Amino acid sequence: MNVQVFTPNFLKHFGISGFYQQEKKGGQKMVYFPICNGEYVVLKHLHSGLGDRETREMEIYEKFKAINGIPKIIKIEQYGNETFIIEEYIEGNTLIDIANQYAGNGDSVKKLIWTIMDIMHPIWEAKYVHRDIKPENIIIRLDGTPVVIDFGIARDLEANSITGAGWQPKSWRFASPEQYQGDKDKISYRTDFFSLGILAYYLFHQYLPFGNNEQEISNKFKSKNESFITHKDFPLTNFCIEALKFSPAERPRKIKDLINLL
Amino acid sequence: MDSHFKNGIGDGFIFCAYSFEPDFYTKEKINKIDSLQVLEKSFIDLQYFGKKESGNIGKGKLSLYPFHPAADQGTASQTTCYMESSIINGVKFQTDLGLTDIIIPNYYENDDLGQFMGLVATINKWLKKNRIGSKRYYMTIPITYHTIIDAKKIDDLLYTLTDIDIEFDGYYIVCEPKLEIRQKINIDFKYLRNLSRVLEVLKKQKFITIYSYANWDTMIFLATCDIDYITIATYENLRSFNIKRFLSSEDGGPSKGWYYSEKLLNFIKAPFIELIRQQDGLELIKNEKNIFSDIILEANYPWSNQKADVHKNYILSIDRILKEIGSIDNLIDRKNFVIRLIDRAIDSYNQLEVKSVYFQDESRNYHLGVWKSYLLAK
Repeated sequence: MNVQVFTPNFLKHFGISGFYQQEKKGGQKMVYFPICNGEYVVLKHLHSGLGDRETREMEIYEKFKAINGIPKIIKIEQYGNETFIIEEYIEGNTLIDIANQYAGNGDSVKKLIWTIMDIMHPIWEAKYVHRDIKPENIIIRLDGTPVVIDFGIARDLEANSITGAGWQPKSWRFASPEQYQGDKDKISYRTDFFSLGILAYYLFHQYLPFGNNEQEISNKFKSKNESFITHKDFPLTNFCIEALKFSPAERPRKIKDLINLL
Repeated sequence: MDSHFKNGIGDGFIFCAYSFEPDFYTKEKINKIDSLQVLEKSFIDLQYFGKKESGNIGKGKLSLYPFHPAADQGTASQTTCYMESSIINGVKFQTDLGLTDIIIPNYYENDDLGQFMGLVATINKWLKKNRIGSKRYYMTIPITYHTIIDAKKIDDLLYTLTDIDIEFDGYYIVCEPKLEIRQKINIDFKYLRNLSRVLEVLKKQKFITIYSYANWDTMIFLATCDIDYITIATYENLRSFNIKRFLSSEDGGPSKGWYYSEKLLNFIKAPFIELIRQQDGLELIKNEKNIFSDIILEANYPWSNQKADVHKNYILSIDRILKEIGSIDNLIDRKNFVIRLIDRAIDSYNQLEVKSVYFQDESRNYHLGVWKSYLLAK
């Protein structure tokens, strides 16, 4: 389905008067950018309905809707046999597209990481872990504040896991050693700490601390050699040293302990 | 009591349930000293370690504690529910006594670390709801030898012990060293590295760390980690913590005793003292400013393991050196200080050989090279 095949009844049902951006295809969904009742929104069409992951993602958005830094769900609706989610439209740029603006800019990197941690703090405290913090999953609003998106593989540590043992979803550039090892029992808020450490390092240096490809990073993790080189002007060296400990047990235990390193 | 109150050794006491009955703590006086004065600086280790493996640890005074698993003659003590309840009762026993520092007793797990960690998590949840604000709680972590030499198991253990939800103020670490024949301390690198890691990670995560049943090799761990409390004891009594001690009889047999030399960083079998004296080598082993050492190094001293001076020589010496090491705030300086102590001990051994004193068995230098290498490699 694409915008061209929406029926008049469909458009009327959702109050769509037009589209402000070309649709995108992502995984098991199509994402449209309609103007509904005069508002810019995001309309997600789930090909297979609400699966475990989408349900969990929606639960997280609902549970933490008071946080001004994650997507807001306007409504979830069945239309015919299809499932649609309408989210607020976040006007801004995906961090991956503007990452170069942070190159060598320690203050901006620090402020961004601090704000992301502030967004994630109540989520971590409630025993959820994002598991996929990376520039593609952060939108920078026009006022410079971040929004953390795509909680699709987030995990509720007190609920049954939706992934099996032995493999963990990961984006190889920002994943932790426990994700590389597929060590499900060690996925926690400290997994996100590691990704944030990589993110801070990457934004300032514009390259990764432990290697340029998945194999190099994997080898580095296996070597247990935690060393990495930082630029002399990088203000978050101590933050990265602690966040990037290969063993989660050695990363800061309390969220405020990591924040204090900023 | 004398060692502490008269000679200023140590900061307080740890009473082991194996040796002291429950009524001991409620007497008006303990060794002629007001009980409250003693208890305010005391910890009690209820020593649940052995029960899960064996149904017959009715040894020592353990079974006199009505809630102690040793008092349970049936098999109930092997159920999780029973274990949780006996741990909670062990905590209550200590709070009722008015102790400020509570060691939460715990069972050791030989095979299933997951089950052990589950029990720790359950007790943690209980404590969250039941803690008394003015008290400090230390969870007992008994680590078997085959666990401590396994880096993966240690990492799994540390992951659980350092979770954000942990309510314990600290941990009471009990580790089995498993000794080689004719050695009194373990010099396995894996043992040194992993036990050191346990202490360092817990300390880094701001837990109060208590290293229990320590021998003099604790100075190697203290060299790289600011351990908060170290429990030491008379050497012959607790020279080697072994969980089997709580399962079967392990009598030592008569001994003339051992001389702890801070210059050799080792114990010397008493009969060697005469040889060293003959070879004019006493200055190379003699503990300085230690009245007990002066007494037991006198000619014709009637050596016996039963004599208090023999043990006091050790605890005064080890107390002093641990405090001296611990007083160095900078950990690099601290490590270098301990390396210098090791170098001095190696030199003393060499000088004794020049005087034709060659030690055997536990008295020989089998440990200093390993210690030095370990610390240099850290």
